[in-house]
Amino acid sequence: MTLQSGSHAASSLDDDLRALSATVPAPTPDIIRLAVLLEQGRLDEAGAACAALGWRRCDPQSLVEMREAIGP
Amino acid sequence: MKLPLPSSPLARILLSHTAAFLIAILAGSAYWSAHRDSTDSILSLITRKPLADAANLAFRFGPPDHARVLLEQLRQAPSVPALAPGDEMLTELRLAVLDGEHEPSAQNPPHFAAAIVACRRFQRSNCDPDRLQELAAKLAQQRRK
Repeated sequence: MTLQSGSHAASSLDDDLRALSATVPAPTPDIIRLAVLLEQGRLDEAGAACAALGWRRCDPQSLVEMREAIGP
Repeated sequence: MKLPLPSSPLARILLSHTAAFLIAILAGSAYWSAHRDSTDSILSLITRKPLADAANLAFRFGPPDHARVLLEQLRQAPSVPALAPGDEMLTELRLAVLDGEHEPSAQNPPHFAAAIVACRRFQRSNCDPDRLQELAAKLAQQRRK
């Protein structure tokens, strides 16, 4: 999985996860997407991804804690 | 002893180039054999990281069913041989926490038993069940209420 920035990175990430969906059960690709968005510092998109997963705590402070949990 | 070298300059050049080519192939093959294991290990680490991050997030911040799916996926993903027992122990302890096996009242806890087995594959680890119970309790505290 290549990590890039901007819209190109978004399409590449989505392409990678779409391909991954064929081999791993849900919600694995969506949580990997959340992890990548957090790692890239795209917290707004990460918040939306978190909410789409139905997780209870998707506020900015929780997203920062999630980002810290997975490290640099 | 004198080697029977061809007298023609062209034949000598061809012979020396062929010999150099063969030596290069042998050297390359030896180098690849020596470094293949470390290359495989690095590739395993790179390919495993997104899944390990996702499993970490799901365990700490997600609902139990999401965490369980991710940890089961992580358990099946290839790991670096030197790190595999540690990865396996941590994954089993997290699954044990999800199933309530870290509680003192738990009986015949399968994930906890698997974590002890993985721990013992480390030559110098302290795999005392009480110590692993403490570790599982700390992991349980990481989960958001």
